[in-house]
Amino acid sequence: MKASTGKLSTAEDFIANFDIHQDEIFLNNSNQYKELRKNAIAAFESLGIPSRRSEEWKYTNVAKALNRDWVQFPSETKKISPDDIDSCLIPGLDAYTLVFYNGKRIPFSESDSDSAVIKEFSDLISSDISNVVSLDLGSDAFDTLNLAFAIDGAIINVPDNCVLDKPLYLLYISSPDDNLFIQNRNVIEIGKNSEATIIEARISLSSSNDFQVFSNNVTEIHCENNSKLDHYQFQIKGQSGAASINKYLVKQEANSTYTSTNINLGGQLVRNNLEVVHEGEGCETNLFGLYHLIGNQHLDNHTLIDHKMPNCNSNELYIGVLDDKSTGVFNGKVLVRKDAQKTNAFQSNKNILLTDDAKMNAKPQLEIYADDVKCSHGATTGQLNQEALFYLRSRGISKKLALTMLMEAFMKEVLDKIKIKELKNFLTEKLELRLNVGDQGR
Amino acid sequence: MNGQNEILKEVTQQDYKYGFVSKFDSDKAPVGLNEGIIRLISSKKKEPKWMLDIRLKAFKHWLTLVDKEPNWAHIKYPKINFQDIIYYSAPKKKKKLKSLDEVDPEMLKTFEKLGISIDEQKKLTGVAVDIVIDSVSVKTTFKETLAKLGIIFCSFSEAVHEHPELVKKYMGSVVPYTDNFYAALNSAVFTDGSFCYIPKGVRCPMELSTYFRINEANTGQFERTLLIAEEGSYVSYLEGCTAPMRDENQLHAAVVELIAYKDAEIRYSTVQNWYPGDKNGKGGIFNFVTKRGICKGERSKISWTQVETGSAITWKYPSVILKGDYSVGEFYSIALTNNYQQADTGTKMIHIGKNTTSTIISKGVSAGKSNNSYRGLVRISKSATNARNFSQCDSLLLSDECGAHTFPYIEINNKSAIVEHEATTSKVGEDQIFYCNQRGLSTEQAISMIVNGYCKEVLKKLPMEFAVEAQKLLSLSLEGSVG
Repeated sequence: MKASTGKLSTAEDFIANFDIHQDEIFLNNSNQYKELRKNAIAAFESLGIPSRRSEEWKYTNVAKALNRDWVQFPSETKKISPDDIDSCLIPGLDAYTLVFYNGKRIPFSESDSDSAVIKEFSDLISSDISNVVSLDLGSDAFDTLNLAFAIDGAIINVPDNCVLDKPLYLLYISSPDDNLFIQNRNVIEIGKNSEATIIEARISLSSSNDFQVFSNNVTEIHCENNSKLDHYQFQIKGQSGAASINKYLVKQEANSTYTSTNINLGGQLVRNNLEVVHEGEGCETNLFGLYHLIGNQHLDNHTLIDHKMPNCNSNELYIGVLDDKSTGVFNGKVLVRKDAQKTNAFQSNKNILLTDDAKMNAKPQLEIYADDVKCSHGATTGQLNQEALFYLRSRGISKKLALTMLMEAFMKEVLDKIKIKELKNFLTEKLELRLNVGDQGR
Repeated sequence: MNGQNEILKEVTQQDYKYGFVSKFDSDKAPVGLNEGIIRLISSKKKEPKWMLDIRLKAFKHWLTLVDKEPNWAHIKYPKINFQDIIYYSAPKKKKKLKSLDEVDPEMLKTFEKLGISIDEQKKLTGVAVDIVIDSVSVKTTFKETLAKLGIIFCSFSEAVHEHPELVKKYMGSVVPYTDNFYAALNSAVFTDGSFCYIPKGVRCPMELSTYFRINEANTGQFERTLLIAEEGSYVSYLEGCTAPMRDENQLHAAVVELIAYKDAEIRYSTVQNWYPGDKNGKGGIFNFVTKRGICKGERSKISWTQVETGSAITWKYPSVILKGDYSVGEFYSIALTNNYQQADTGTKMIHIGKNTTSTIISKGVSAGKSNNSYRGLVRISKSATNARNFSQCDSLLLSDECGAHTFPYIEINNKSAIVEHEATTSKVGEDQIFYCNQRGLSTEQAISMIVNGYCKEVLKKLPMEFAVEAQKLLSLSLEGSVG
């Protein structure tokens, strides 16, 4: 890879960087994909980086987080040690594993990573673009930026009539050096009547007090007729040093089921955009989220369920605990279009604030154009039940442990949605560490 | 379904029952808006210089906002040409009126057609009515009774002359002219409105009421209401509106300011039934209103109740700033849209004081091709320890071409806050209708019953006299409509 000079902090820098690094960006691209990238950067130029004036970014100041000299094409980065990779694996989990280090896929020793469902990124960019799921160049600046630049990512193609025997583990690790700006574009296709489980982990090894890694990722998911996808995403570590914007575009065909479970413990500034569109009847969508924020963490969960077709169900539950000076944002939108009769859509967002410096901004929205529907949403913010706390204290349990128990119980509702035992144990353990169960003797 | 569709058609084809123009001689300003017009309005109203200065300041600010009209609401409308509006129109006043007999018979007829006879109201309900037709207060009744208690209830321009110290002190203190585009416009060109002052410890013995009517074609209506409740006082204020049928869109940009001191309580109820446009979406009122109250003292309470059935476009967010400790804010709303009506309405509850409580109950009913949105903000400031909010926003859909939307904003900055929001959207259940049909009720009656039941939570918050009118309005607009 050639040495890079282009530093980035503004939209203009990115646009200039596109020209500087054309060789790398256009490597092995089909003409259509080149054209697509050019259109994307043009769209980005007209959109610009969103400010807080934009309704979608009202509560998240991304321009401030971006204001730093980012390096997009580093000449070299620190090597990752096998121990570091091992520390990011889920103990006891048998899975097809793909490892991305600072945005680049790196070989992973176990042979099962060569499963037939895993394709190369070059397969995507060198072929014609019809299999790229969604191309909306009009609205999302970070999506267009990603499309223009992304030169690596996971391409998963589960063929028709296939039930994947093991989960797929997509591991994205970032190192703390060099102010890296990372962009991956993932395309996941689940064939007709097929079933798969995908676990996506974002782990930042960064530990400093300022943003050192900024990643802007897009994952396009296409669930064919009668298919089923269990999609887990978790982010740990990097609460002081990693910023990320993760966009998931999910298209569901008839009678497919998509379940997303998002566990967010890490990252200093995290924005998750999850958009699900129903392209066929009889779809089921479950979106679950859990977050525990400490320090200065800022998490912004945006979800959109676009009910285009009749007879579909969606179910959404986001739960969070906010400690210290953290900020949480929940913006969940359920859109029921004119033809989507017999839609059932439920949404719930529950939060607990532990300190007066923590903030929660919730905006649960319903936009409904069909009449034969059942839709509801609820949002609550409160504190731990004082009576329950008293009950535990009166039985000789320390205040700290009692609080931890109550918080765990509160968060269990989403943790219990995790069907993979190893993953559930792994995340429960991480969560318990954060809740300081270790100090229970005091 | 067919039968239901026919009934729906019948309802949607109903003409606006209150569409007529009463013939008064009126005194109009030329079309357009400039400094000269503002000076003209001010001189017509024989205002003191300080009032003119406020208007000119607001106008200067408004000029900086031109072309920056708020566009975030979920509504669509052609751009308003603010130079194509007549900003002042007043019925010609020949002499001061002493009794009801002296009121223009045309005007009395107007009220009769509306089903709101002053006589009847005077006799039966004990309501003092400050009649406002096209911005100028013509007649104020029961004034003496109120005066004995020290209550000031008069038109805004009267207050400017007779109580300048109060107007100077409070006008713009809750909704400053810099607040938003329409507040700036209103502050510059407002023609009249109501003013009410309740002294310390006085409980206003009757419901105060004022009827607004937009009468002159092409006239923007710019009302301003200022209501002050001193320590320990109580007042219930009723505002009701109907407007004649017109083809051009008429703009209404009112400002309402409420101030409640320690232990005071203000109840502000509105029934809005302005011309919603015909069934093709032509005509109708644009209703862009800024309503806000402040609970200044401890244990003060402000309660907004609204029934919105009219207007082509409603853009209205009656809000409460809960500044005093233990203060209470309430918002009860029914918004009904039909044909091509659009409503984007809701509230803001800004919790600043400790132990403040707010309740939001919003019931939206959409029919025809209308769009009905609830947009509300609940903000718990860092200082608002133990604040409590409960919000419930329900939407009822009556046709497959209408829309019902909910856009709540919840901003929590204090850990002790308990905030709950819930919203549901559904249609009138066929099984519910079937149940009623089975018991010999027509589908129309069944729908009317179900919708009234659905809105009951809000209706029961209205003063008696208003509840009757509101119920009538609801069933009038809804008879049999189910999709």
